[in-house]
Amino acid sequence: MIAHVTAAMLAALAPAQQADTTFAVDAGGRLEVNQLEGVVNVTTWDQAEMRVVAAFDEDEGRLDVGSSGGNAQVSVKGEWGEPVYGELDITMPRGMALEIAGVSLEVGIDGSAGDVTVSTVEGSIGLVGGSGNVALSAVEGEVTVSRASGKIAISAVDGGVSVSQSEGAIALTAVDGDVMLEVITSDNVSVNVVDGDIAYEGTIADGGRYVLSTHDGDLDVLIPDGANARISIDTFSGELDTDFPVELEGDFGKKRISFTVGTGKALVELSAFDGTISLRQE
Amino acid sequence: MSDWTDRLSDYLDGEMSGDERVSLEEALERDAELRGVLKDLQEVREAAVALPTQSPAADLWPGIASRITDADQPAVVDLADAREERRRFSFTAPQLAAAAVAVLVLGSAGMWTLMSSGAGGPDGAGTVAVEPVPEAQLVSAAEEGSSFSYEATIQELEAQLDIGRDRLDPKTVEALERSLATIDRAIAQAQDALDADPASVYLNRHLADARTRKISVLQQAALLASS
Repeated sequence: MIAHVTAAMLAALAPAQQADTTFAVDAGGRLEVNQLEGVVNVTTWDQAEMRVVAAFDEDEGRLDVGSSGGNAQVSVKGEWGEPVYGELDITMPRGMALEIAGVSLEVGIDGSAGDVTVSTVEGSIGLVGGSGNVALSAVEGEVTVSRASGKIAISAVDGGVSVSQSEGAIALTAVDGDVMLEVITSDNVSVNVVDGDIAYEGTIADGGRYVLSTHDGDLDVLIPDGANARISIDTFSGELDTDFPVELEGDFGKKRISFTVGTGKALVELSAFDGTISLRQE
Repeated sequence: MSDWTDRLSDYLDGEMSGDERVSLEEALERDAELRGVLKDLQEVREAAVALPTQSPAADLWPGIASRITDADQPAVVDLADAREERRRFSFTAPQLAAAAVAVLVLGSAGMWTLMSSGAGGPDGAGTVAVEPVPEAQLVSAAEEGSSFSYEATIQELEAQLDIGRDRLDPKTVEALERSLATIDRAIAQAQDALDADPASVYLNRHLADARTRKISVLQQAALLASS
């Protein structure tokens, strides 16, 4: 059953209008926000309710809130269902899965403990929290993630990416933009950048695999004290810089070398076609 | 054929241990034929990336179920035999080439169009890649076809993007074009480097990665332009 509620409009403040509605939801369900243009901010609480505060132009649109099964849908739409610019402040149950899609959309999420999927074309994505499957995609805009856990997949085309204080498998691709990974706990990290620097500070776990690759940019990797890793370095016209002594294997004339730290139980593959690969040790 | 041929897929999937990986890469440095097979496999993967991800139009389960319960089929299959058979199928050069051709055919014609027409449906599910083709022709077809597939895929996606370009915000178009230009520069630089050092495993892989990235970004752009 699909129940649609057009929220009551409050006092007329044309052209800006504000709607404020709270309704019961399945705390284990999913929130879907399809908002073509605007701003979406999501916070969480420990209640099986959702509160939506929306600002929009009353001459153009209305707040559209629906529910179907365990899913809730929120957006600002025009009279004929066409997308309209809107600013949404949503408070949802902490563990509810969240899916946000937009074109020109700024997204901020704080406190989620469920799956998070966000896709924007133009606009930044900021996520604090997220657990399980976290998938973020931005064509033009920065992506910032902290305190996420699970499987984290990030795709950025034109914009930098920052992930901090997070744990789990991380797969990250970027075309134009720097990538910074800080305070990461993971045994599986894959980062591929075309034009940008990569910095990694996190665990190098026994049995783990860490693949960091950039075409045109520098790599800066912190090797934790006590790490056991076999480290391979590939470059075409780049350089290697370490602040600790290493015993090189292979042929640097072929731009490929490797060396072992500790017992070498983790695999660290670093490549920079044209850039400096810096290894620091704690 | 090198003993490492059967492990190339594991290598590309990142499923080898560190020592194995180093040994394989040393073998690749020495063995041009092995590098050729790796290149073919990379190109198959690139073409596969460009395949549509639609769901099958028909429910395939009845056909699959009937085949599972077929009285003529052995009730129990030895796992070791099955594993060995799968590996042989996956990695011998002729079959790799056949896979490349299959990807090209499916990619250009549309996989699920083919299936919905009945050729790949439940009754025909077992006919894929059964036709034996002479090895020399297959390898040749794969080499020519793989390159053609990549270029054709790029052209097709660029055409789709052109058609829907006006639907996108000019700033978005500018960002996409800037990023595609960045990737093109990376591809050109990797290609030049590879021309100078064709035996480099890193450069082969790096070029394949850059080309795959271009397909991914173009797919994303074309999808945006069509929505």
